[in-house]
Amino acid sequence: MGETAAIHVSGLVKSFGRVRALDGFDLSVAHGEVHGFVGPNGAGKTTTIRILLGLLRADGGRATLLGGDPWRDAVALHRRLAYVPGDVSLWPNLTGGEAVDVIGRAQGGLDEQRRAELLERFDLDPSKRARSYSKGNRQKVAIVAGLSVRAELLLLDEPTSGLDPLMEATFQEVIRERKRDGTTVLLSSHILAEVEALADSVTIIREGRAVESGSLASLRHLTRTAVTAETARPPTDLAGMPGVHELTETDGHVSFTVDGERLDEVMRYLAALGIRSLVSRPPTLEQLFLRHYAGAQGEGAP
Amino acid sequence: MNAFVGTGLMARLHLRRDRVRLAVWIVAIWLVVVPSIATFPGLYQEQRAIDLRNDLLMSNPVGIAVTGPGYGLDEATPENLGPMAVNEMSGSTIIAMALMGILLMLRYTRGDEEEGRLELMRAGIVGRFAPVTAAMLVVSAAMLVLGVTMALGLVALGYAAAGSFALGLSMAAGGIAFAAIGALAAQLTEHARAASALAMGSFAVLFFVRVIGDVRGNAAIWFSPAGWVQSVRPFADERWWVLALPLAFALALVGLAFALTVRRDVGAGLLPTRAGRARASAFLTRPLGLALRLQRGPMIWWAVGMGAFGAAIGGLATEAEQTMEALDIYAEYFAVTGGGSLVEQFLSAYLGFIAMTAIGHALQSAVLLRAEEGRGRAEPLLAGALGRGRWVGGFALATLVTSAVVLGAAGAGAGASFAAATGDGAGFLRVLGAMLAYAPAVWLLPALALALFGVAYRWLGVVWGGLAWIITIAMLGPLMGLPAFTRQWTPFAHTPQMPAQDFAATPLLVMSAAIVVMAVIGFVGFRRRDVDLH
Repeated sequence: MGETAAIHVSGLVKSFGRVRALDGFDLSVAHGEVHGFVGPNGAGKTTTIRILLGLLRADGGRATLLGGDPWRDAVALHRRLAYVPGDVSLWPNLTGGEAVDVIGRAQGGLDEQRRAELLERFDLDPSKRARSYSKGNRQKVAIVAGLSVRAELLLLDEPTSGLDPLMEATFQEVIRERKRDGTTVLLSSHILAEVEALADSVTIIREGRAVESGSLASLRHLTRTAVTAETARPPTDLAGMPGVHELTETDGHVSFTVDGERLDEVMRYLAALGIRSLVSRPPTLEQLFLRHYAGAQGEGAP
Repeated sequence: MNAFVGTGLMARLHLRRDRVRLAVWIVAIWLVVVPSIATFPGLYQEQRAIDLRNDLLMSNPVGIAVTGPGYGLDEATPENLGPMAVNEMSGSTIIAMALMGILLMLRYTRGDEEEGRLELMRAGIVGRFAPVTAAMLVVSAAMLVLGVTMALGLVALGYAAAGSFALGLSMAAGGIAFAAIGALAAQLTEHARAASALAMGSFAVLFFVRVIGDVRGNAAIWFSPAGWVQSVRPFADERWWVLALPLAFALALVGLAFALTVRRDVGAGLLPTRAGRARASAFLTRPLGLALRLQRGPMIWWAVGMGAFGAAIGGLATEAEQTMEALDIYAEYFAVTGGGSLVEQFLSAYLGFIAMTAIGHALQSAVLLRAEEGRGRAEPLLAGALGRGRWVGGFALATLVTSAVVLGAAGAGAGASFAAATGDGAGFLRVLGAMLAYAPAVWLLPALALALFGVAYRWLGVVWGGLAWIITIAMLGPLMGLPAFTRQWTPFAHTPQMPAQDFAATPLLVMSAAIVVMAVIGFVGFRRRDVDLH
């Protein structure tokens, strides 16, 4: 990570009455990366983003955004970032196009070319009144407004909730383009496939604390690969090997999961037996995620 | 019938959700009506006082307009004060109960629909007619509770039972009739605010029809629920059958609302929404432009309604001159001291009442800030380069502008009809100026709302209590025998009551300074606190 991260948060605390929404939360986002921010509803994702936006004041800890203080320097920082909320409420009597302009202007000014292009790509009719928009269309208004702004940093809070798969794909394309332009992105989501497709690194939040953080590659290393293999000679020693879990055998096929750091060892063993077929699935973010959320049954990763 | 399935479920939901709100409405209106009537035996111990009061109010159109037809007043004695209680209280009680009926009705119908809650219910086992039926049942039940407890209160004070119940039940029937107007309005427009403007406007027109009927002594009273209600004649040989009129009217309107429900989609108004502009004007993208745009519709309705109200008062004031006698008690009732002709004194007193009504609009506008925040519409803007101060400033300025327009419309209406009736062209500007002098008094409570928004937004509702206080002091202060000094605790006691009184700058400047201080508290407070979505 560079000497100055785009976002640096340490020990962040925020309580609402007796509920402790953030409880010593840490987060670091490097310049130019897409950082996935993963956790279920109520884990503290939105609270974190609202603190970063200067909408909430943290009770404790430090947060630095683009080198500034999110509360004190709010307006100056907001000129450099754009925000897409996940739950958009629009003014019922304004049209979608008007709402895009109102929000875009407030967020520091729209790039006309981008606005036109995004309306086209997201297939949004700007002359309809917001009252008649579906959830997905309201979401598109926020996306078009936020992504039309020329910003160094994008804060996206579950930006694709309510979008159909086609629009979801369009959204991913646009984010990749922005990343290529050097934009830093904090992408909060509980759609793990989306984070997996876009993010360079990930922070998993649980009950207001970061439970895992790092590059997607390094996190994968921490979890298990699922393997199904058929070998010339039966792999009788497999059950006793360290790092091998959930071993089952059917019709000469063995299926098991193996810890990342033992994968090499196990593969050498299987190769020595003569591999006839082999299917291996890399660990998904979902497995990683479930491992942290399965609580007491942490071993029960699928 | 399937269309009514779920009515009980929805009615219970409203009762559960609004048990406090319903109780507050009922208790508040009861506390204004019954204690006021309780003061009568003390005020009218002699026949002379009774006759003086009745001659005074019934001998001129303005008196009749604010009270009513005055059935049975000829037989009023210190032992039989019922007809006077009805005459004194029924006009203002109808207004209060109509507001209660319309606002609750819209909350349960179009309000729920706009928030998307109705969709959730209708997707369950809830029939097409259930929402309107449930809302009507809950509101009617609240009206009945209020009417019956009002009657019991009067009986406890020693008033005749038949008359007491006739008064209470007729008021309840009126409330139910006006709630039904709300039910119909909810079907016509897509937004609760437009529906409420439509229903309130209809109420104002119908109330004025009653005024014309009473003042001219003609059949116009039979074209208004407000007229029917008073035609029940409590304490004056009650005509119970008249109670059937407002109830039949309510049933007919609910039937019409049912018919409209069938013809439209959930969430839609009866009129299809037009396609709008694809681009925002440069002005709309500024906070002031946005705030004005959001309030444009209600502002126009208010301006039209208040202009009509002003015109009615301006016209009535001159008509009053022909029949009015100079009586001391008059001046006391309207609490205008100072020079000017009687016409001017009346006009001055009524301009004050108009200004109090305008506070209702100004407060609706002022609390919009919190609504925008709570609904999450402020968030994407404040997350942008828009500073919090500029956002609040835009909305605060919009409140100043729209309430000045509403006040100006009322003043222009009153001035124009006054000038037309007197043939005194200069009267227009004098009346308009007199109306606009109330601007600081009107802006005080919105400024308090702004201060609360900044430092204690959970207590924002207090401002409505402030409005209730101002109205109570003005309308009932002299009648309820409140200590004289309490009558000073309202901005209206300190605003020069022109044209009867001379212009005085000092009180207006003091109020303006208070407005500025509260606004600053609001600005600074909001910049220091969390943006709260709940």
